[in-house]
Amino acid sequence: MLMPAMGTVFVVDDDESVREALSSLLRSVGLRVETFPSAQEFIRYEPDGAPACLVLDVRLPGGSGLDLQGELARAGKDIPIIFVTAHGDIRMSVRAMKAGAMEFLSKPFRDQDLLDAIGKALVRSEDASLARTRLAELRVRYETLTSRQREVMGHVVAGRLNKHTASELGISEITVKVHRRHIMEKMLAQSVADLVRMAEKLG
Amino acid sequence: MEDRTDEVVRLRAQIEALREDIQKLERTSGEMQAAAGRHENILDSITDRFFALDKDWRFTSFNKPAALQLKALGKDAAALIGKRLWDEFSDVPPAETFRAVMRDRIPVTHEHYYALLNEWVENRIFPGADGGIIVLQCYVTRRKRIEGYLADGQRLSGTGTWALNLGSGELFWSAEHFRIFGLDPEKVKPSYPSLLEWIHPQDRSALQNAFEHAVRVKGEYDMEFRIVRPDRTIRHVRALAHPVMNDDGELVEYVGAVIDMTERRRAEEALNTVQAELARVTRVTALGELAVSIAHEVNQPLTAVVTNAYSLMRWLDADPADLQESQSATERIIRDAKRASAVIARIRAFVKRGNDRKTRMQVNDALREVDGLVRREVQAQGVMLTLELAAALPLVLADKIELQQVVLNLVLNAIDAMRGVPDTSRFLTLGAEPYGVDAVLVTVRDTGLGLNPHQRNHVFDAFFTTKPDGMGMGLAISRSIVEAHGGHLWTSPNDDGGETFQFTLPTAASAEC
Repeated sequence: MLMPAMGTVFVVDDDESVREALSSLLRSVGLRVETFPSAQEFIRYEPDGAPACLVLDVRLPGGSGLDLQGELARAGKDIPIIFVTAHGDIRMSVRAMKAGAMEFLSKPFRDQDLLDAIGKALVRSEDASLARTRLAELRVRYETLTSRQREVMGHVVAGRLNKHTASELGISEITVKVHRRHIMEKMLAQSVADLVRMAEKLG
Repeated sequence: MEDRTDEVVRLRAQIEALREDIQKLERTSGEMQAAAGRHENILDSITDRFFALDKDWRFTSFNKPAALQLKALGKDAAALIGKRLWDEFSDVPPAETFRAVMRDRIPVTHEHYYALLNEWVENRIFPGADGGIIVLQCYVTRRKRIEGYLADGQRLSGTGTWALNLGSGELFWSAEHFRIFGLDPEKVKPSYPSLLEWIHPQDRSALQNAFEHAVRVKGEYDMEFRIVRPDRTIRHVRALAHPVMNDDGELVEYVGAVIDMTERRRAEEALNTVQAELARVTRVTALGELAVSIAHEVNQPLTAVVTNAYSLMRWLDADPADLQESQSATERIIRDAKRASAVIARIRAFVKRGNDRKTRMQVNDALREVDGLVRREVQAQGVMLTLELAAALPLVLADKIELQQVVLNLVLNAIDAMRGVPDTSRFLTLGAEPYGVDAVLVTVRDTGLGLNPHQRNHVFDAFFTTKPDGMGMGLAISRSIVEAHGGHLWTSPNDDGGETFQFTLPTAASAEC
């Protein structure tokens, strides 16, 4: 599997030998690795928004990996998780998968199984990150609209006719058409349908 | 004149004779009066109440205790003489019995509760020479109370008593004995042969053997067996017997008790089941926890070893190979493999330490306890178990529980091995004797089917079993326990059939030096 460039793998495992071994394996395929001995230390770490995934031991001192999964979700930190465990049972893996885990591997695992899971996780992370980037750009463009233009955009994406918009806002139909052209230019929208999709993303 | 003289002589002789008769009569009368006085004295001196009635139910005499009793009831004995019983006493509890003796002239003994006196009385009623009746009455309240206590005691404790006359074969049972056996005292006459029919078929021969043995040695016996009641329910009973000898030392009778053990047995069985279940659960839980802990402790370094090996292959496969990373990965593999090994060594040391509960102990004590444990099972299987324990054995250094596990296992195997032989020839011997100067030899000998040479070669192998539902672990574990004690366990065939398992244990003196 092709690894996305600049992916970072976070490893949380209380066993130093396991952390060292995972670090070596992941570095050998060109991945950036950051290791943490406990959930608490990982929580304190602020990711930079680049594609990343988390390799997480289920059994951790001071709270299980499943607890950390819940905590990250509540904090809005969207990071794909690959669970590894020495004594996983079905109930535990079902719970982890339902909560959105990418994979649930038993120790010791095949290197390829782990690397495949990491590859998938980083792709997902990258997609999510790309989506976030695009949304941020869209916001910047939206910010350039005047308040009147935002008003008009609201009517356009709601599918109103120009003359209705004009009478409602107390302006001429010509003025509405001018606003529409400027809106399309500033938002880099190819069509009204394009503009509707952008409005949906902006929420 | 002559005639008159003769007449006078004759008359005188007659007078003399009459006087002698009178004197004789007077003597007799005096004797009779004296005798009557003596009888009166005797009657007055006995504590029983005496009174006599003539054929018309008139009182003819009372003794003093009777007069005192009447006085207590507000009657004057002297005034009653010549009065009819039925006119004076409207409520005579044994009226029918009095009438029967008066009519049939056959003595009767009769007990009844005399409410006026608040006493139990016993009336012995005899036909009198004058055609009436004589009544002797005594208080039996105390005896009745003791009898009642005894019956209550028997009922409450579920203990019946019995006596067997060895001459006649007659068997006497108490009411509680009948109740335990579920039999009606009115309908069943117990005897030794009929007793055997009520014994559970599986226990019959063991009981018979034990009893016949006791009779031979004029000894006591104490047996537990099952009986089958007429309603087909099974009761567990314990019978104890004590021999009774005559002055010549001949055995004449056995007296004994029979105790209903069913409830106790049931409670014991329930307790045993709960204990066994608890022990099993505890063991399984402890093993489970230990296994999870071991799995985690060993799995972490193994995971690291495997992962390092994968990364080593990738560092070597790179172009160019990264020898420094490869070197580090290899060093980590060695380090983590050693760590896994150390975890296992630690667990092994822990398990060994946890099991080392050896104390200086008497082998005979441990064997007697095993005897107590298996006694019921041995009897149930119709096996005769004999202990042959040498006196004054040296102490051994052993874990008693483990030692007993081994012996118990061998004994249960022996019982299983004898299932295939008739129950009249199932003999089990459990013995202990010195073995050389520094060991004790424990022997478990059975008269079962024995082992064939192939079985004998493999009987100590793990998972080897001759039983359809056996695990094949008992003897393997037994051998390892014995060897952990510094002893040996082996088996050999008996000359007259069956198998003998033996093991040695070093004496405490030799084990400690």
